[in-house]
Amino acid sequence: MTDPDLELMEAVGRGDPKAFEALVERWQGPLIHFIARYLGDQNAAEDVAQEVFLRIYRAAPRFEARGKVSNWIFRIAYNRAMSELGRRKRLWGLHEALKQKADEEGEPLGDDSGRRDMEEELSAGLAMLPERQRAALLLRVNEELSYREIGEVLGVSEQSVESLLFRARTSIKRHLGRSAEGLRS
Amino acid sequence: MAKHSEHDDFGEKLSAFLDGELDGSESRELERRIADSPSLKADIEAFQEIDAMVRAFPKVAPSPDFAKRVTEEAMRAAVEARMQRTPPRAASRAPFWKRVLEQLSAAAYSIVEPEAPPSVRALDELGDCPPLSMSCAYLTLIGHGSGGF
Repeated sequence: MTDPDLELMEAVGRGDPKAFEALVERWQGPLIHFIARYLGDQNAAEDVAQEVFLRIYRAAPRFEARGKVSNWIFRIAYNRAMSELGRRKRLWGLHEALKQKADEEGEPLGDDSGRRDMEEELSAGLAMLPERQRAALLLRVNEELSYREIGEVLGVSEQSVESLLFRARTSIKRHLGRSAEGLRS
Repeated sequence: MAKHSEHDDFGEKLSAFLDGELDGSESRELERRIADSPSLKADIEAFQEIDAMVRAFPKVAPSPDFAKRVTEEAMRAAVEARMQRTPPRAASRAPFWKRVLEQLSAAAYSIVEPEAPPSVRALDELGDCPPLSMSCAYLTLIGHGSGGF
């Protein structure tokens, strides 16, 4: 079966702006949704997605189809989102250090102990997952990629994908179970 | 001794079963186990529920002009990249005699018209002058053109 994105990619590689715009329109929704859920930040998703598309544009002249174009696109998105997360972790480390200092100095902290609904709990559960598990779950559930395709995006074997997905689902199940108990008590 | 659970044998296969990634015989075997085990059945139902919840997350939609904006940005970046690849005409490559003339002309101009700052042209513009043509170079540098030389 022919990949419908291949022709578009070839036109993008020749510098055709209309083809590029069509490619962006075709993948902007799934990509922004994936990045937003992976980062747990909807506001940053468009900025990261823009960088992903600009990378695609720059790489298009050298693009060689070795699998589905969409897998390649998601792979770039995954790598870029992962870098963004790394950057945030470094900033978060700084934030935590400052917060600890504020604690020591007796400054009041915001209260985030309010009751959260199930969607928020699920978001929290997703955010707690190791990055690969979260990406694997989002790609499987939202994009319906096969284990082989998820493996291509994440750069791991099918066997690893099976394990990542099982652990992701099990962790979320435990997290939601604990939250439900917490809400009941 | 720790109790040997069904999950030790089938744990990771549950996910693959749910995703339709097991081959025929494995799938049938697990289906039979799930039917006999309330614990495995509860697990698979919980996994299905989690998937449904993840799927039901509100979609994060792009802003209406996202594709247009990204395309314009890509085009702008491409033009910028092309310009960076084109080497600028380097002033340092001008012959020595042109550089000397530039300084002499600037000095002469400041004597002739002391009120106005010397309007010294880029060395590149001297390129049209024949070698050692002082008058052409002078007129070019003070802004009266080099036509006719």
